[in-house]
Amino acid sequence: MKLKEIRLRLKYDFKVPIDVRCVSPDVFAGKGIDDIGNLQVYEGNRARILKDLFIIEGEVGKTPSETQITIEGGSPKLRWIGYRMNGGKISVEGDVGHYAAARMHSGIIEVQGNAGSRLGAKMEGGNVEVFGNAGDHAGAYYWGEKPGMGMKGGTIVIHGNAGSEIGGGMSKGTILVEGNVGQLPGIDMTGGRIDIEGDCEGKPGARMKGGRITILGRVPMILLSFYINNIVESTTIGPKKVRVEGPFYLFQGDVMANIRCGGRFYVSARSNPHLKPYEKFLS
Amino acid sequence: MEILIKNGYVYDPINRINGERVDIAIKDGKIVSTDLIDTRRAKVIDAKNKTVMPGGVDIHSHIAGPKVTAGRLMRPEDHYKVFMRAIPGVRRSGTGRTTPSTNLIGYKYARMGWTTVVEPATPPLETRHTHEELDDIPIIDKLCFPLFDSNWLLLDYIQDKEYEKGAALLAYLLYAVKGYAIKLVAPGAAEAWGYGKGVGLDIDDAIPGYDLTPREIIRGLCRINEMLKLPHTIHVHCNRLGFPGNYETTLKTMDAVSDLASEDRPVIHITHVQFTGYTGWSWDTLGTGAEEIARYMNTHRHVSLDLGQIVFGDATTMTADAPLEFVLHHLAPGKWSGSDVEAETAAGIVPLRYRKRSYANAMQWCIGLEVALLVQDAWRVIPTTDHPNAGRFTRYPWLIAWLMSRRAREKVLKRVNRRAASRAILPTLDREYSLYEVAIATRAAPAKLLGLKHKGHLGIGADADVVIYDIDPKSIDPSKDHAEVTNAFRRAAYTIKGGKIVVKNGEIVKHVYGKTYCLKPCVPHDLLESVVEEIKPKFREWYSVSLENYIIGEHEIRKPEVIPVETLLK
Repeated sequence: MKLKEIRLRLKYDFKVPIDVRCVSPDVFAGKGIDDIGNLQVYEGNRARILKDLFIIEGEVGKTPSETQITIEGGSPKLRWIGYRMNGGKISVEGDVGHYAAARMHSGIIEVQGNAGSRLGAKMEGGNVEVFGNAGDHAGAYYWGEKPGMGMKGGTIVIHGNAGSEIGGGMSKGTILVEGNVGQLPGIDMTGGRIDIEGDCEGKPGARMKGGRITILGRVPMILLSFYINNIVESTTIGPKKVRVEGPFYLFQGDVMANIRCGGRFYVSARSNPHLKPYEKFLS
Repeated sequence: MEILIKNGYVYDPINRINGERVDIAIKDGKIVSTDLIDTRRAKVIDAKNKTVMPGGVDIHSHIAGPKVTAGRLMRPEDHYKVFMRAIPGVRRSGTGRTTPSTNLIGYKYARMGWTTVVEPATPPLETRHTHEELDDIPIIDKLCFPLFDSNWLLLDYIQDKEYEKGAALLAYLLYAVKGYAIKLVAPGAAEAWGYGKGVGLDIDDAIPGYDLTPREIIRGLCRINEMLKLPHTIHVHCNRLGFPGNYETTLKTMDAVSDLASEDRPVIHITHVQFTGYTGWSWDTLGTGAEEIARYMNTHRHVSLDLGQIVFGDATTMTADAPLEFVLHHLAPGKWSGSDVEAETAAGIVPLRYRKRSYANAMQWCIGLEVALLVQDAWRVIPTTDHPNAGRFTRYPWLIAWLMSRRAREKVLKRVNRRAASRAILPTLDREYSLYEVAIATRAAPAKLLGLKHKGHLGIGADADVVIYDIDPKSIDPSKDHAEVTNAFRRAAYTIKGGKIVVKNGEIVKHVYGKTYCLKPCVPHDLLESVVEEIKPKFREWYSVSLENYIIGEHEIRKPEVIPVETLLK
């Protein structure tokens, strides 16, 4: 299906956070350019309209799924892009700020630059791809929520590095990070999978009750509440389930969160020679 | 500003006005006789087909203090669900549902027509924080009750049975922290908790570290309260709160002070009685102890109650009963916070959600209403939700509808856990509160129990806290049209606070600040001196602050209203 494209070009360099949750194919679909230009956005605490901030060109489709929104030259101040988006495509030729793709249901978001914190927070479906780095809490819950209230479906692919607490509270879906991640990936996780090709700063899978985490790089230490289960020869990573050869240590936990230790956790043995003492527990 | 409220149906139980058409005149923040105001200049409010009541008085609502702030910090998820936008020059912004921010508390109370609120538990050491926060709450008048149940200085005197000195010390502390009444939270439990004990501490159990039982603490403080003749009684959160089978402890607590009662006035206020009215021996066999409690209430006049009625939905339990919160944390895994306040008390916070489908929660819902309906004297049963422990204060309109309408109760009963509904006695109760009884229970009675002479009525000289609700008592039958009653109580047509119109058609129109009431019991000078000299070395040893910094000055409070109290001390 041919997507109809609408292009938003930034008029000036934004200095304060801008709430652009209306920039989403659901809102744009079926509207004329003038109507789209008159949508309300907040610049800091001031109510503005979209055409004050962007030059808008192109046309939109009748339904969200026929619409593509392209933002030329993003800005880290643009927040809530694609909030509750349901179909269609958003492509950003630059950076985005916090809460991009939050609560997204379906569709595609592509970011050529970096993304801020809480990328794909509480998302329920769709695909998000970031070619730069992402901030903290990618695919996580909002502050203070219960385990399992994070990402519920869809995929997030981050080609660069990601920050701390990615996949916090996630219950389904896939996160693939090709770079390194910060601390506590998969905290409060109850399902889904997180695959990290680089290193992890520490404490992976704290309080996890289910789901799986794979780390191909180095982990300084495994939490003491994880038990070693096995050594496996290979495992799969990413949404396409690409097979990677190991060997991998398979840990189970977190026993502090759930006595059944439903969370599984693969760590590359080759990158982590300091975990060798664990092998004696297997014999 | 002069205001004249005309043609309204007035409900003023203290002055025995039951739905009669009386004009109310307001001048300089007080209610005056109608011929004292100039009708040409006065603002006339036509309250035709509307109900006029005194401003509501909430006797138990945790609105300020260190634990509320800790609750706010602990529950960010509570705050992005609700947002009130600022209107420049009119009102400020705020967020939060079970733990709203300070401005929102004032606005939401005012919108419902409540104008006086009590913060019922504040550790004396941290009361400065409580006052800072109370100062920030707009519109409503405030009071706070410091906790004295596990105060080492005081327990020493009670243990030695030196009640005169204890009374002098308490008077000193009460004025030092600008409190209003004595609050006891599971007496002795916080002290025992310091030793890792105190879970389910009963009224006759020994308190480790002291030669005391909770019964002696309650009796001692009740005696001290009577010596000081404080306007409110002791405000007691019973032992074994939240444990099935605890109604016996509640009855024992009530009975423990029955011989101290003089005159015809209560000497003990049992707070959130719903949490302490359970029979059974586990959460599965939880039953209602409302009948026993109501029987005791109907035959004895020295006790007053408030309900702590459960409202289904989100809640944040915060109490100075630290062992209970530890138990709750294991019942509801997730967040928990516990803290200890030096030589005074301990506290804890656990977020909870009350579910209709849960047997225990549905039973709890029934017990609260059963107590309210079974106790005949509306002057001694105050409907509260113990905000935010059993529910938000913004649910009062629903609570009032449940009290006023059997149909409203049945509507909820249809949707709650069936086993609970079949075991409760609530479905068999026919009683329905009238508007007059609602005015008693939410306005006149709490004001009377608190000893606030200018609140809770519309007589001449009273504070001009008046509410006009859009209820026409002649055409609305609350038992059938409970939804209209709820809506009317949710958004008052007018709320007048201190002679100023603050709410109009359910929206805030003015941001003002109310007073903070505190007591100054008059204690003989030499007795006070000797007590202060005695506590000085202890204070230096036990506290992290000096006694001089412990005392809160009147200048630290925005609008203090110090009430002197004549005591029996000589």
